[in-house]
Amino acid sequence: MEEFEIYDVVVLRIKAATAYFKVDPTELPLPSNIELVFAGPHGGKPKAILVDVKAKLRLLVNVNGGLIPVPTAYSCGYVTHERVANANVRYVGDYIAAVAPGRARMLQVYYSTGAFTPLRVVVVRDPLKLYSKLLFLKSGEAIPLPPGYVVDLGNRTRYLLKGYATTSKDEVALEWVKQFYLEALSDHGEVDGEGWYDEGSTAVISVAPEVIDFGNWTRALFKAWIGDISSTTATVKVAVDSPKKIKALWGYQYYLAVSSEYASVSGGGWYDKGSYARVELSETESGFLVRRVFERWGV
Amino acid sequence: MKPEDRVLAPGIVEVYVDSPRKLEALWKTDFTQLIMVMSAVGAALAAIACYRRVRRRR
Repeated sequence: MEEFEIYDVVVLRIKAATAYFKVDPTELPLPSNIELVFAGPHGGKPKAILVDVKAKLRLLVNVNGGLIPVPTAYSCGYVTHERVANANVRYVGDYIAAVAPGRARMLQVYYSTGAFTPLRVVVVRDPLKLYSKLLFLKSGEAIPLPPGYVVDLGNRTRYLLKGYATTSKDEVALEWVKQFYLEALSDHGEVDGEGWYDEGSTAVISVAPEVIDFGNWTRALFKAWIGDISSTTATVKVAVDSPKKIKALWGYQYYLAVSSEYASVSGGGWYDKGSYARVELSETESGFLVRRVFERWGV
Repeated sequence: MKPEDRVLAPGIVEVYVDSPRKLEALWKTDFTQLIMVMSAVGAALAAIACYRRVRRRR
């Protein structure tokens, strides 16, 4: 049996787009042999054959709480010449080696003597499983929130990212709130309160004014809200438990003007469209000797 | 007036409101009483005049 030295054997079973494991602590200066090697350490048979891996690898070392990349990386052991097949390793910048099926070549992926800016790892946990990821942040760098902060579920329902809660030193949890859209329509007046509301909240929808005079002896009067809620008041409170659509119902009135040269006449005023108005003279005859007698109604 | 309007009695009408409307009571002048009074006065004056003429002849 061939003798070889095993430094560390780590088995990673990753069910995520990104993952990391930490080896603590590490002293300064870094040991000269600390390096990222994709395949190894054994150079004999059987050789390592990549079946189906597509990954970006970055090895960081914990130094006094800050994470810095290891200064060099190899596709396979540079000295030991491990045998590896179908594993193409290439440098993609920022001390990251990308591994994918392809022609295996023995190479030094990168080498740096530069000063590293320490990073810190932040685990972002997302209850919606949309933005769960690892973040490598520089000192003082804020956590970048997902762009848009909104997940549209359709049917006037969405999740809005309110922010995040720090659950531990290296972990934050995104806080989403479910929202529903309240649509309020009206042919007249100004509607206030239409928009997105948090689930479980109370919305106030209103329309004003309740009487709209069009100026041509015609006016509209607010009658009720109809649709997903019903109310006869122009200002209504709505418990937000689902998307809702409501519409203002208006009634129309016309002005009836009455006049009489003699005797008084009653019945003039505003009337609902399609209704009957009773118009009545106080008397149909007046005067002495020369009398005024009601003849007919004119328009 | 419209076909839907309903006249209930002289001076009383139910108006169907399906648009802005204006209704005016129209009146006519009745001289009947004046004529009757004038006729009565004229007849009385004529009677008095006849009576005086008869008394003078006697």
